Amino acid sequence: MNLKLFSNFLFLYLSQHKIRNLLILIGISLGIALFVSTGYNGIRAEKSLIDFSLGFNGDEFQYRISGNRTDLPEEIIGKIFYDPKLESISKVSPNLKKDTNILFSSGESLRIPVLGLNLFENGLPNPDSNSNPETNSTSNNSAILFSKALYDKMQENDKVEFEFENNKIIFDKSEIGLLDNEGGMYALLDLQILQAYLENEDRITYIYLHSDSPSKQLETSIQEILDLFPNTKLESREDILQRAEGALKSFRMNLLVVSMISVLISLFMISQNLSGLYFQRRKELAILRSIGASSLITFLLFLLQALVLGIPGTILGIYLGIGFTEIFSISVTTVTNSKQVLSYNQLPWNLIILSLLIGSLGSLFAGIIPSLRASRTSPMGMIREGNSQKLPDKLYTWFLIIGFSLIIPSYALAFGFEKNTFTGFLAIGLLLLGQILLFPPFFRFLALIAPRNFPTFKIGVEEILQRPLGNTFASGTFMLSVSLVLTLSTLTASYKKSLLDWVDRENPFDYSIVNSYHLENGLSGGVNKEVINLLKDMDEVESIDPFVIISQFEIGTKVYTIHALPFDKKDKKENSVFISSNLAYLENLKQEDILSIPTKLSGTIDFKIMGDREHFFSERGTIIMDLDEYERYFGIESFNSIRVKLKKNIDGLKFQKDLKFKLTGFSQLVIFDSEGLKDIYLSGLDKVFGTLESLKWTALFISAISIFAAVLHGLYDKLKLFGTLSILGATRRQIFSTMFASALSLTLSGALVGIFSALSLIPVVLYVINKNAFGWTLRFEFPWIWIPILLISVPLLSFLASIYPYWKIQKESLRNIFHEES
Amino acid sequence: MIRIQNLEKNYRIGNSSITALKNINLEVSNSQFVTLMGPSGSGKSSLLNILASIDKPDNGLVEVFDYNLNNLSQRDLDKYRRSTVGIIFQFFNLLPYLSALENVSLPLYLSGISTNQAHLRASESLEMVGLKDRMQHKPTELSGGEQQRVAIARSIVHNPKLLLADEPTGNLDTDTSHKIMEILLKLRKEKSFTLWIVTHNPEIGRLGDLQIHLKDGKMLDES
Repeated sequence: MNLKLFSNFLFLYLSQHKIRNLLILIGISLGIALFVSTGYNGIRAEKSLIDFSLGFNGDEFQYRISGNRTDLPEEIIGKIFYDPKLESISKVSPNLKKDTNILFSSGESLRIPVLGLNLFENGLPNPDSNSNPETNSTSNNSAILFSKALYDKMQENDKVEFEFENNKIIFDKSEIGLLDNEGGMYALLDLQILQAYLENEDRITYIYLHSDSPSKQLETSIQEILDLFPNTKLESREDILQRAEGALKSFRMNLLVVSMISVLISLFMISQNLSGLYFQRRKELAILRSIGASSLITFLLFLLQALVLGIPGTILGIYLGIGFTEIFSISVTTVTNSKQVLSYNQLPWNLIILSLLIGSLGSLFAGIIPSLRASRTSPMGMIREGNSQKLPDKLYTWFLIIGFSLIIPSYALAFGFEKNTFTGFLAIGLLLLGQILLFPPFFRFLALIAPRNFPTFKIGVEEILQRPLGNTFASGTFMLSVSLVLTLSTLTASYKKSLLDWVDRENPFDYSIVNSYHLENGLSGGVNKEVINLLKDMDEVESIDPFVIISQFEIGTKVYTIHALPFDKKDKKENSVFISSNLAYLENLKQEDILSIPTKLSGTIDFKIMGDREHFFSERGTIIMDLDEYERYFGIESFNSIRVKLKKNIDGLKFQKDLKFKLTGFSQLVIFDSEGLKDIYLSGLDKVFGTLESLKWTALFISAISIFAAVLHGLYDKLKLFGTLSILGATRRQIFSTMFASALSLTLSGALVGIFSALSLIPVVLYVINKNAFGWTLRFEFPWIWIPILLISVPLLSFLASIYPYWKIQKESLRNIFHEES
Repeated sequence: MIRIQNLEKNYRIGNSSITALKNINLEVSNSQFVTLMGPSGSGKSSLLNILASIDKPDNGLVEVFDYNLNNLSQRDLDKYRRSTVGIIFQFFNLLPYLSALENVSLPLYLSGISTNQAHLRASESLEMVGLKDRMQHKPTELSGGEQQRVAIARSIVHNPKLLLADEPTGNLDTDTSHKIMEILLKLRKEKSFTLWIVTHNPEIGRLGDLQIHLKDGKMLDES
């Protein structure tokens, strides 16, 4: 077959149906863009977290020694260096890490880790093995080295000031060298220089050990030395990475949901449009077959059509996804911050290739069945076949049976496997598939109940049944969006309700004093102990309740939160703690179990678990400790917050004013009332759920495009219908109402099945996936606001979707319509 | 009365202009039976399309009863189609998901007549074409001849003054074609509408009171 024939068949069609194909491209590309964007952000977040966990050390070390919330004594280095049992250790690299505030000359401030290494002895830890300060000409004469992301930021400034505890050091631009690494924002100094700036010559944070033959025996030998030094910890590189994995768990969960749904939406868009393509182009195919095109050629032509739409859509989607990463941003874990994450800018080639594969294979898959159909039908069959893709009546019943057969057992799957999120996701997949199969029978139901007294409306509804499969994809996309929006909104609303109920129960206090700087930067402490004395002097105060939170407390390879607060007398028992109920669920812990906690001042202590309590600080689990016990084992420099309860009949505003005055000397302290406190908790929740918002709105946008495309698609099949109605005397309003009825049927079906889908998904998402992932049992709260939003959106979207096709119809001459068909 | 004076119709195809009708003049009295014949491209469908209000003339005058088809407003156009003219197509143009009764009722639905009333009149129409027993059947359950009879019933249900048929038997076998013509002629007698038929079939052509031959857009003769 002539290549020109191929290209004419494929590309001329595109040029003659620009709007229709543009809608297809937009739909496909948005779905892929969402997939790429969330994946890209996910990759950046993972890299950031792993680098952070490894202390930005790109070297292939085998072990790391760290202190338990304390610095390491330099003596350890000598012990390890000279121990004959540790001869296989080839390199010992001490490292000092200090989170430091920096201020650029432009006025912008950042908080970054500053690393101190033996630069001149051991080289630089660098993920990029080609970069070495000895060979990097920009670094040889530099006083300080900046990572690439930080160096780029410096280009707009002349100077930068570092706040090293008691010293402020200013570096001129010319003194700063470039560390050509992949990502992360940090600075590098010589160890001794940094120690000097911190006025502590012996201070070390980590010791990295390199060995050519790591082994259990070697670990034991190292541990023997560390046993001489309390509050030290030995971890292998694998241990550190495993801990990072644990911190990424909830993040990956969000990512999986977002990626799955965005890919599904893209594939639906492709399928929806290709399913109708065969009937739209059947005459062309008939002509080709009648002049000698074989079945194989017809099959290939059609399959290529799928790729001609799918591949450009995918490429556009990849470009959009990388370009609009900020729009489709996904909130990262609470361990690293967004500035660090965004500093990782290398193109994710693996993700790009995966997206290309998904888009191409998805398009091929969507095109196979219509292509097979095109190849098997005879030329006469294609000419004689009508516009209708009506299904045999029996098939509607089968769809109903199979649909419910998938929906009902999926619940057994979801709830039958305890602590298994995989089966939860599988159950969701089956639920969605079952619900999609309900569409053709639902369309038939709509046609049956369509009011006979409004014939143009009835005709519009009946027209949906002429393309049941293509319209299933259109409505299915809308259903997915509605279901997603309602399910995610319920999840967020339930979290918020549970959190706020818990805050109300646990915080029967009038005011909380918090360090705003520490709060914004995720730092522990910040409220001076002296504030308690100030409060004790105020007659309005009935009780004072300080607490401490350590949000990244490591026990072995896991990370928890410690919440230390004053216990009631009856709960004050030596070496005893409570745990959060999600920790109890996730780790199978119960009352009377023992939890070994490494303390700063007394080594590892066995604490007895007194019971579990509801607690929403951490999805990883919280250890709740009496404040006095905490002070005994860890010491307290400052509190995270001091809560104040006032006596009865005290003027709260006056008290607040007086307290502000007393706290004048503490510039970073702020006072929150109970509503302000709730806002703080909710803002934390919003960060975690932020990604779900972008997903919701993107999904709704894509599904709106899907409806537009479906109505437009059907237009060319319905030209004769509208022509006939016009000839019979239908007014423009009646023509529009027919079109509107079709669009409304699609949208309404999608909305109603979507609501049903959400109601079926919500228990699985809340009480299986969420429960298995984080251990929380949430209080159910349904976002009723979405019901009126949907009630307004459905007819509005249908109306808007009908406008362009209606305008097209009006422009089309009746003569052309009937001339073409005769 | 139908009056056509100096009717001209051109079509643009790409960069060239094609004359479909030129200098057409004729008058047709009420209740006349007109047959329109000519080779392909002679302009017969173009003339029918103009009378059916599917197309507009470029020049000249076309008056159908009280309607000047040159410059009808949209409202008058809708009214013309609902009340004055009925059309039968070669390929029936029935809605496949409506029953015969509902297809025939369609013009009445569009006019705002109640469903019950519309069905009553539609059933009378179907009885006239001999399909009383097939009212509830869908077009896919009817033969070609039966479908064309449904189309005929639909075209007369609103009592038009003018009935236009574009190759009404073009898709049917000889026997069925005869039956269809019998029905059309019978209905014309009963309802006294003006009947225009475009046909390639000389047998049908000869049945007309007024036989118009077109060639290259011009009238050859009328007899």
